[in-house]
Amino acid sequence: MKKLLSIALMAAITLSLAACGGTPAPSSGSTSGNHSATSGGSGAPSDSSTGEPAKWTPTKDIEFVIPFGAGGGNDILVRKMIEIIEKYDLCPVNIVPVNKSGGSGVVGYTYLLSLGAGNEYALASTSASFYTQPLTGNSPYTPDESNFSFTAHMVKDPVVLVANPSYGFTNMQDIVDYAKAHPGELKWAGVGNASDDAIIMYMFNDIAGIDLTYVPYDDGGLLQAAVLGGHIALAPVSLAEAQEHMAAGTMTAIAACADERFDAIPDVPTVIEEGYDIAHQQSRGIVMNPNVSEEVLAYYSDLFRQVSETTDWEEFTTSNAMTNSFMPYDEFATYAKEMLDDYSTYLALIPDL
Amino acid sequence: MNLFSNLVMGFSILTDPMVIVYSLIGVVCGVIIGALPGLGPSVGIAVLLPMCYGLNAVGALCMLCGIYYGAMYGGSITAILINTPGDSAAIMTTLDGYPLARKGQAGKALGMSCLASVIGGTISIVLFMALAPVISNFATTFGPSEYFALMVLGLTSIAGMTGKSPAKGFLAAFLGLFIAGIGIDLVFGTTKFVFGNVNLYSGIDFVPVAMGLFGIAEIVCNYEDSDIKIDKENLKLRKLLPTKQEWKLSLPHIGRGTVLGFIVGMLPGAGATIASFLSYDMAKRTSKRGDEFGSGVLEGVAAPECANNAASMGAMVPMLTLGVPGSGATAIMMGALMMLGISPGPSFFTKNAEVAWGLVASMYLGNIILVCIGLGALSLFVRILRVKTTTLNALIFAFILMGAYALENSMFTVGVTLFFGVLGYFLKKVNVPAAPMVLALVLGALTETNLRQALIIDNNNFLAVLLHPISSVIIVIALLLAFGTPIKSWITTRFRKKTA
Repeated sequence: MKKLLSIALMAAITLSLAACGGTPAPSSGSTSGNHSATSGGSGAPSDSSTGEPAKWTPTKDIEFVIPFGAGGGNDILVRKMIEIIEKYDLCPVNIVPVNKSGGSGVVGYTYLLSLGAGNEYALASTSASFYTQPLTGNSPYTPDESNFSFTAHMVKDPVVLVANPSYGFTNMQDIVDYAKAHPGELKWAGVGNASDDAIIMYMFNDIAGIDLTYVPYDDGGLLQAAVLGGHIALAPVSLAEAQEHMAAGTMTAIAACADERFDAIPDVPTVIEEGYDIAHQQSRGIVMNPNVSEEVLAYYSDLFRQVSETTDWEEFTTSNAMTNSFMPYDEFATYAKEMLDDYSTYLALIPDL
Repeated sequence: MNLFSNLVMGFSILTDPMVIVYSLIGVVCGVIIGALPGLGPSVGIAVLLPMCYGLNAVGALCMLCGIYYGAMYGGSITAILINTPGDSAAIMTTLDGYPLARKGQAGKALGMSCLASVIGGTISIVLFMALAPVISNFATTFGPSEYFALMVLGLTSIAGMTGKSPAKGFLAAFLGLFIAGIGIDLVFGTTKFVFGNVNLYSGIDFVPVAMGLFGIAEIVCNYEDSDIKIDKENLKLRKLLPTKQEWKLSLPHIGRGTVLGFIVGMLPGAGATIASFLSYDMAKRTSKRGDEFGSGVLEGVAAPECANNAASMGAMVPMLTLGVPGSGATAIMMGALMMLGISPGPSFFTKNAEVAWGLVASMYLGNIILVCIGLGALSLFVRILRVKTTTLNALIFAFILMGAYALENSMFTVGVTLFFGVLGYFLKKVNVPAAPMVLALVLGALTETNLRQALIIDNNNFLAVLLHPISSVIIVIALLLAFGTPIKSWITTRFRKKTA
């Protein structure tokens, strides 16, 4: 009896292991660059619009450094790009995602730089901490063209400003009125200490002349629970996190920190419509090592332009409440300079930093 | 009755044989992943997530839940057999599980671990059904000040783990608290004790520390010391089941540990690890043979094991009803649900009734599968110990280092693991217990974060932080636990003096 049971179990374990191994993994399809392209699909990207033939093409595998952990926002974004590149056969070689997490991205960018200036086969994805960590003095590099080649800008991450309903806020004026009547009482929670969440609040404080207090969290889930429980009055959260709660009335949407109103909540105005000039949003792009030639940058820039034009990418960004905002390498470099100015201006407002 | 008809609906979903297959695959993969050092439920779910793409919502959920509680059990296998906790929730299992294994009762320890997990899981399913739709708000009553109080309560449980010498135990605990302080400060963004090393910016995770202190240190000591004896007789199924007497001793702890585990699990900031700490401590304090805890008693395995399974079920409550994931594993699960087009939130039980009750039914199923696998494959697991010690140790060493590398894809974590392996060896030589250090490391970081947040919220008034109603109750309990015994003995001696 016992023997039979163990044989059956051995078989079950073996089978399930086979099942584990046999199922293709679309999210981490990193090794198989030779996926047959579903050419002619409705979402297939257009050919190079410039008409110029690309002068440089990669001849060996490309390393795509993700400076954050597996399963995070940045990781999902990069793996989606790679998946699209493989699906439409946009690149003749494999692109291999490499997670190098730690130190809010510093470990990953340091690793990228260690691959050497002029390295044509290493990319890295950026997010807010790319700009903020160097500004708070916690990195061995500066996020400018002396250290990086800006390759392509992909998306912006708009957020929704939500409030605990017990305060009865419906618009930003309500918050300003309450904050002026009760100085120091309103708390605003965000992820990280020198993050986009913090900068938006300090911009708001500055423009409206109020003093909201910032409470840093290291976990988005706990932050949400704190707002739901009324421990925190205000927080900028992603639309996906807040939508169910807005519908149930457990969170009130005040304004969209975005270029345009969200399609899913058309009644919620943008912060700018509310009269506060806060256009700041998290931006995500791709950078490479410095001293990469213009042809190489043009190649990658064009590759990711094609990614951004697929219907797959459109679906992905919409379902994740991101704004698809592709910029080629030269435009991204200018935009990054503006971002850095923004960050350094408003990080200076953070006390004790 | 509504609950009943809902449950019938849930079980009707299970008539689909494929659902059972998915659940089985999930549990088996979960047990294997949980048993590998360094790989816990969150890694397991993340790695196996792609398998869920083509499945329907119920099937995917069944598989993910299977991985989740399969891994919770799997973590205890290596904890008992080779003193290396597979995940953080299994740290407490090593305290009594490994001494049991050394006494030649590895099979019994594993059997108890499995049965306690399953009983804990089953009771929590009942709690889940009864409570999930109604008390979703419990999780949100805990803010930073309440979590701070809870972490203080957790830290008092260190006192129960110091072994023979309290001074050495506290030395280990303070070392752990120090390590918890390394990294970039959450509030000010300044670096603490990193000495310019970017790898230290995000602090030291407790997984490589635990693998070094427990796993590697044990291997080195094994090399000097005799190996575990294994009695063939003990591998018979009847021998794996606890005796009537042992049941009598363990059941009350399983009952209490389950309820405690479920409640702590429902708090997104606490989770299975803290549930297992508190449950072990409670069992030690309430048991008649509390002094023997740590030398290999079955209750010491049962209490944390039932609590961590109950907590993993409890964590489903805020995840499904509030959309607030309480742990890495539930966060990834929530991501998977959203990918399947289901958004957890306040209306989850009304809008997705079929999925919700199907999930409850699949939990029952998963528990049954877990018993079958757990008890059926026990003799296979225990057979690991029959491998020649030198061969086994080399293999474990390789697995630990691989697990360490896989954590962050970096050699740095491998270095951290080796460092703590060496440290653990010397600590063992001077009889400084490792468990308080790991516990302080886990709780220290959480204590600090929550205290800092609570202070900001209460405008830097420390007294105001402690005076939140829930916080003050928990702090009083913590104080009583920490100082109850000396106060009691002080009162009794004074009383005796007076009468004398």
